[in-house]
Amino acid sequence: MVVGHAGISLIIFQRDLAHSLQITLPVGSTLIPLLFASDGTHLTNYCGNNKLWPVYMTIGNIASKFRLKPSMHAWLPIAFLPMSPKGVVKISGWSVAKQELESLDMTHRILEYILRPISDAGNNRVDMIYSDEVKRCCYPRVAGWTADHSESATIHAIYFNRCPLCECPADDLGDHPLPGFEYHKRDPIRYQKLWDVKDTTSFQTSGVKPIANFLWTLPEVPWDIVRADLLHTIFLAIIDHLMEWVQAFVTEHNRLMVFEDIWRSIPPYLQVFVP
Amino acid sequence: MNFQLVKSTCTFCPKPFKTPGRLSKHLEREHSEHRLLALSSSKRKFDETRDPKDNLACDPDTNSFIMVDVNANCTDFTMELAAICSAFPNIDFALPENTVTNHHLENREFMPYMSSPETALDTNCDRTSCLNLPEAFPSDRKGGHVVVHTPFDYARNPKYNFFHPFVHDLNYKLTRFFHAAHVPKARIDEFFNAGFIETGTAGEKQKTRQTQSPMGAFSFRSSYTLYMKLDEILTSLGWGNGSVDFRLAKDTEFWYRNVLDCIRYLVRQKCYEKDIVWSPVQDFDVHGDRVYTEMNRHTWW
Repeated sequence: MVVGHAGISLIIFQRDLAHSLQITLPVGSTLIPLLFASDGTHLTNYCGNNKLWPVYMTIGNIASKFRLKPSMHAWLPIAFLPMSPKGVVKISGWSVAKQELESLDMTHRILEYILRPISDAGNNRVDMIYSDEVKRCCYPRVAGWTADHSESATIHAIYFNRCPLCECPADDLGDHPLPGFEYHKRDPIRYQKLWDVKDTTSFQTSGVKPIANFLWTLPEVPWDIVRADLLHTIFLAIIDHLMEWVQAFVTEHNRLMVFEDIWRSIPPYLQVFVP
Repeated sequence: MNFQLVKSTCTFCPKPFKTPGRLSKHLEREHSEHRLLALSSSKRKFDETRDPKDNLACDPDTNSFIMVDVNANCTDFTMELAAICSAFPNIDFALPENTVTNHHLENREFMPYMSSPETALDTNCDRTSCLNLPEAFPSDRKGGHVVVHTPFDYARNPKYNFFHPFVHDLNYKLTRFFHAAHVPKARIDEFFNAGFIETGTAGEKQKTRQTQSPMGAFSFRSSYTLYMKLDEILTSLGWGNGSVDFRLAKDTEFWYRNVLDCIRYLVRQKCYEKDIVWSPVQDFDVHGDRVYTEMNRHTWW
C-alpha cells in the first residue's frame, strides 16, 4: 500500500482482477494497451484534391501527461492509407454503392495487413527490452481508437446514419428508448459469427455492410473500441448544442443580457476563452 | 590548402605527426604489436547489414577489444566494458582509476524472486504450478515480468556490434569527436582529403586503404557519408509501402510501419522511463472513493 498524491494507492492482487484483462494473461506478464487515432485530412484543392489518411499509434503504458504532450512525440504515424476513388454513376451493372463497398473492403484488407503483427502476437508473447534495460514478456492488445463519426463508420463498416455503439435503427436515433430496453452492442465477435453463417439479413437490419471486418482478426477487441475525439464530442457538439438551448431559454425569459454579463465577468484563465 | 592540421603525438610514443596518413604508417611500422590493424586485416569481412546482431565488430581471437578508449572524456564506456567482461571472462580488463562510472544505473533493485533466471517465472508453464509464488503483482515502478536480468545478454554473442551502424569503435570515436567538437562539414572533408598519399592504380589504392592504413577501416570518407551514417541511427523505424488496385484508380500507394517495431521503439525510450506503468493499480481518495487518473487505474486493464 502506497500513500500517494491522490490518497491511498493499492497494488492490485490477483483476486481483485475478476473482470480485467490482466487475469487472462500468464502470471507476471505485461499488458501493452495500444491506442490508435486516425482522421482523413483534406490537403489541397489546387493539385488534384489531394487527401491524406494517416493512422497514429501510441501505448497506454506511458503516463498520460507525457503521452498527450506534442513535444514528447509519443504518437507515431504507423500508416498512410490510400484514399478510395469517388464513385462513378455511368457504369452499368456496377452501382456507386457497389463501388464504395469494394473500396471499403480494400481498406479493411489493408488495415488487416498492417495490424497483422498484433493479431499474430496476441496469443504468443513478445519479449521487449524496456528503457531500464530489462526484457519483459508483453502482450499487446488494442484498447482504443480515437476517431470522428465517419472514421467510426469506416472501422465498424456501418452505414453513416447508424449509431457506431449500438444497433439502434436510423429512425429511432433521437428518441428515448423504453425503460429497461437496450439495443445490441456492436460486438465484433457476434458479427463474425453472423458472417461465418452468411446471415446477410441480420447484417442488413443492424446496418452493417457485408464485408469481413479487420477488427475480427485482432485479439479481445472491446465493443466500444472507437471513441469520439474531444473536438467533435465536446467543442463542436455538446457545447454548441447546449448554448443553443440555454440562449433560447433565457431569451424567452428576457434574461439574455444578464446571462452575457455573467459570461463577461469570468476572469481570464489559462486556455479558457469567453465565448 | 590553407588549412593547417595541428600536430598531434602518437598514443604510444612522443613522436608528433601532422597527418593521419603518416601516423598510420608509423603505427604500422613501430607499434604493430598493439594490433591496431587487426580489425582491418581480419579475414572476416565486415558486413554492414541492417541487423546489428549479424555484424562482427571484434574478433574474439585477437584482443582487439582493448582498443576501446576508456580514458575518453566525453563518453562513458562502463556499460560496454561490463558487458564485454561478462562475455569474455578470460580477458582481464581492469578499469583505470579515473574512469567515470555510473553505478547508480547498474545496481538496480528488482523483486528478489525475479532477479535470478533460475527462479524466474516460466510463462509457458501451467497456471496451477505457479500458485506457490507470491500472489501480488510487482509494484508499479519495478513491475512486469523480468525475463532476463542481465542488461546486455545479447552482448554474449561475439558477433554483436556495439557500435552499429559503425563498423567498429574507431569509426564511432572519430564521429563522436567530430560531433562533440562541432567540426564543420568542410573541415571534415579536408580532414579526409589531407592525409592520404595514394599512388598507383585504383585497385592498389583500394588495397592500401583496406590493409595498410587504419584509416582504411573507416566506412565513410567524407562529411556526406558520415552524416548518412548518423541518419541511419535516427531512422531505425523504416517505412514499407504497397499499392492497391482500385478499379478506377490503379496503383494507389499506401505506406505503413511495423507495429511491433513501433511498440519496441516507444518502450525503450529513456525519456518515458520514470513515468511508464506496468500493472493495474487502484487509487482511492481520502473519502474512500476510487480515483481514475491513469489508464492502469481503470477496471479494463
